[in-house]
Amino acid sequence: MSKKNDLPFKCDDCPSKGQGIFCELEGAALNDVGDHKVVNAYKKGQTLFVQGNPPYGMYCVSKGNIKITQVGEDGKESIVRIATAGDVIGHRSIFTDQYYNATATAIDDSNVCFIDKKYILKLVQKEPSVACNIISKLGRDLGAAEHRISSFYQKNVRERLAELLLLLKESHGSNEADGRIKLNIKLTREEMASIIGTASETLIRFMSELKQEGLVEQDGKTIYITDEKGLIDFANIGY
Amino acid sequence: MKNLFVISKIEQNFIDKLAKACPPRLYNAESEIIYEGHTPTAGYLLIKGEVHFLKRKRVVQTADTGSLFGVLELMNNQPLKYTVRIQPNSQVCILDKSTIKELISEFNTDELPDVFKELVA
Repeated sequence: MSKKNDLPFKCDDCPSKGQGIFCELEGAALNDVGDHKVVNAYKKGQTLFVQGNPPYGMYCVSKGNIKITQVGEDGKESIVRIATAGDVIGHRSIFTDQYYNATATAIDDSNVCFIDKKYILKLVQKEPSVACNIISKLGRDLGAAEHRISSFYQKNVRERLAELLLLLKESHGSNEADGRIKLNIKLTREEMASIIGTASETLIRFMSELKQEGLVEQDGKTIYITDEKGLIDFANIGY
Repeated sequence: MKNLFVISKIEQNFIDKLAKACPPRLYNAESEIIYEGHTPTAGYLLIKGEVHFLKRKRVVQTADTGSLFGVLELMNNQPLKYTVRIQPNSQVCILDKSTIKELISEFNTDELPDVFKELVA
């Protein structure tokens, strides 16, 4: 039989410790979570779960980025959100007892823990802090979904693109020595276009516009925000 | 084909008990249920159909009805050396960690298949 999985197994060793829903647990309670979870490293493109399948548990992202996509009746795929370190995915389906309404796929090499449904349901009853953190997470997800819906109706593609870059700055941005903000996530043009609900050609045109305005720079797939204030004005949001 | 020692055959009476505890799930389409190098998120008992074990995209072993796999790897946190691909119209019982722990505590050790006895030992 193979050697033991050598990924960080204890929640105490998790690179996203402090950001997840179990982070208020300590000692034996946290060890018990560790005893019930499975840690795996997903390569780019590998699937965690598939839309239409019944949920068997919840996934907790330790490292990396996972795209959550929905396929419409026309077979067109759209990205509904991107989960990053500290995020949980698949939790909604556990509590609603519905099938997964989206597919989760690693967009870069990611470490993800899986915790089975039975254990999560027991834990929620036993540990109020976990229940509160899940409710808080569901609330934030709902808020983000409502914001996204209103953006689709109230903003044009140019504004939605600027807003996406600002959101990515919040979740994946890091300050460079030269004052630029680097977005530490590599999305394809198709993926970015899918998030803001437009065609790749349109996205390319507006990215060029943002570059010409001196708001962003691009080095391969890496995007840098060079003028955050200008981008906020462009996005037409009251940040 | 070489036996990879990851599959256990389960007797019908225990299959019936497991199927009661975990209603089988039908896979209509071919699907990868375990990726090579991953610790399975569940153990799988094949109720109907066939699964393929793949190494470098080549089928190196197949398993049929009554095969149980992934349980030891799941409970011992060990990665599987093979990708496991379930074939269309196959049915499996999906045994997660909590369910396996429950089964071990609910059944007498004598009633358990060998693979579960190993976990009790």
